[in-house]
Amino acid sequence: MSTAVHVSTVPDDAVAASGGPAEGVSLLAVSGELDYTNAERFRHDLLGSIGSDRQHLVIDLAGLSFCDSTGIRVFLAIRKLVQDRGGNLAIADPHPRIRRIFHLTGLTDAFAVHPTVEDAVGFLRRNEDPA
Amino acid sequence: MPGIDKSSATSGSGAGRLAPVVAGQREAQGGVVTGDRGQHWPIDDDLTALRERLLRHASLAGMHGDRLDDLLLAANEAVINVLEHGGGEGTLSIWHNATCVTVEITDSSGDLAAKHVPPERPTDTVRGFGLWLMSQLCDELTIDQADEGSRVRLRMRLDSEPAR
Repeated sequence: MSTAVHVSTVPDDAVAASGGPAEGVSLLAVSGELDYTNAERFRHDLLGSIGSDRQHLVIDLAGLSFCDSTGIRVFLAIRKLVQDRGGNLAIADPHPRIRRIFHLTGLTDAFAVHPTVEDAVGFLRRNEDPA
Repeated sequence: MPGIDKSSATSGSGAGRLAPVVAGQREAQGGVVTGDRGQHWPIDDDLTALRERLLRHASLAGMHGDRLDDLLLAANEAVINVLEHGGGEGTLSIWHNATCVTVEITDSSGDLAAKHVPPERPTDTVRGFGLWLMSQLCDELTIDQADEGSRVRLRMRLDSEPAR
């Protein structure tokens, strides 16, 4: 048995039912364990799941129980991709263990880590509309 | 204080190496001898199984919460260093006494030395980042050269609060 990590696209109607995201925001949910053995495939899966018509991205990490430094590298690469398209990336609901590595790597602020998906969407909406 | 034990983080000479924790020492320290002299596994790419075994042993030793997570993260970084840079072959051992849990990771290449541990957080995530994480997560990080290759030793005291 090797380590498994899954990426799923959250449908818009499910997103709307949970608080309603801003226009132009994609929501992805990640579950499992992310480490050196599956980070490359995860990068590939994540890139394939990002909608090309959406600007911003929220990644729901509620189901992710482990992430090492190679996983952090993937999140950094995705963040750069989203920012290059003029968007922002927000992370929602990380496990304390994930929160810990984000904190240690100095990326808690860089990743805009929020306790819930609604908070993450709200953050992106506020960023879009300064008023 | 988290961080590297500078006095023992030397490579080559063996001076300042941590003495192996053996049953006799546990008794001499007045500690509880659990009868568990530790476990030892070859490193392979099934990191999930490796983490589960580490979690089980460290939990039984009395670690929990953030400290347990810190040891798990640090040991995982040491293991992926072996897979990525250390020749791909190595071993992981864990043992404990009344005062601390020790995890030892060896590789077959012998290239790793204490001087490779960055003193400050690297600004990117190239090699060295995992080593820096280990130095932050553990009470003690020792790197030296053993007969078979490099040896990384991670140690956590059993009575400490998490380093933040």
